[in-house]
Amino acid sequence: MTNKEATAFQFPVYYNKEPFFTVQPVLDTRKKQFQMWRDLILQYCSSLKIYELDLLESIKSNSILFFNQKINRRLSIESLKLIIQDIVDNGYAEWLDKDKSRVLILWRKPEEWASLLYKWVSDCGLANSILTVWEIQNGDDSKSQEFYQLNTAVLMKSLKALEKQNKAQIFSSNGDDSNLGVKFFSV
Amino acid sequence: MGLLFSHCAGGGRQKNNKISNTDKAVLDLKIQRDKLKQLQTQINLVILRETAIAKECAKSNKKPQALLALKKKKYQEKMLEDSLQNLSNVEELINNIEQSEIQVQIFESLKKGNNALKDIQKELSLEDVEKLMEETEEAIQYQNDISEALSGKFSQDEEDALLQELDDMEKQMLQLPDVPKDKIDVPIEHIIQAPGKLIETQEAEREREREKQREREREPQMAV
Repeated sequence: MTNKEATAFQFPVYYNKEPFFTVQPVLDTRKKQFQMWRDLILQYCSSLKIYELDLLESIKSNSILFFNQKINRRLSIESLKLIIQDIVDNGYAEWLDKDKSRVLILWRKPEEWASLLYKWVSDCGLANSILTVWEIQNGDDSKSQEFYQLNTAVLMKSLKALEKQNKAQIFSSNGDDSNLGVKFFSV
Repeated sequence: MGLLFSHCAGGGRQKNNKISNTDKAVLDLKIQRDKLKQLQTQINLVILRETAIAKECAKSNKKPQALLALKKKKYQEKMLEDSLQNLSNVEELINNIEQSEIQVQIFESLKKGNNALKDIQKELSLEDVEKLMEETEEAIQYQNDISEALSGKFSQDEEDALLQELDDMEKQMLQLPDVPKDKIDVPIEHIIQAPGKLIETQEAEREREREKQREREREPQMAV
């Protein structure tokens, strides 16, 4: 995530307001503020296809998302943690470690990815065939798809969602965790 | 991530019934295919890099280094060729397995269909059909008998009786009227030409006679 890439992203008006970068003391205002941050972070990650955020790294590298140069305001690491925790509580993110230093951003929920995946599988006549996880992420067939180069953790969550609907089965060719593939079923 | 994967694999083992050994073999081949593709990407990058190095060295007159880079590049190209060959082998095998699996499925379906057809045919034995056809034949025969009976095929006696009745009817119709006792004042040709009008003609003739008679009786009166 470099600031150069982010230039294509259209920031909302509230991004240019100074109070936006300070956690609001009044609870109602703070709620509203966190919701705005949630919208901004999810939209930003979605537009740049960002799936993972390292909190400290984002602050240190002066990511444009948390540092507005124009008004010289930045989000503190403590504030960012609070905001991300709020997103996690809303189900659009998951902590990747116990220290809560890295987070998986689910700007599209696994169930939504799952239905996209399954539609693609049906459209391509791939039901009842076996695909490798790598193939779904990097294969020639999925190049034009939104899930091309999808984050592995998100992809696995989506596949598990399909597994729950009996539309797929994740399995390994040799019993270890490295050679994973998935068989899709026609329902 | 490892935790996530092991969980998935564990889930897979619990419901292994849906995954056959063939599926596992295909997955293994596909993973090898993926690895070969990744290897090719890597080799292509190395070739590009070595080419760039060779050019750079040639420019700055470092001939041995340029040659070395070209040799490395050549070697990588050989590897790329090998991996392409391997990839095509792997892909061919995958295709063959998948095709064979489909063929087996088609065979199974055909077998099931065939069995179903046999079962249906079992319910329809030849003897039953013959018996049914015989019964149908009998029923048709019976129907014909009834039709014949109704359409008037009678025994010889009945036939004779009917003919007798018809004869009697005809005789009655042919009974000629009595010959008139009076003299008939009609030319014979008339009778022959219009036999049906005989009586009418006679009647008309007589009427005319009577008319004349009456005229004759009236004339003397007028004369008086």
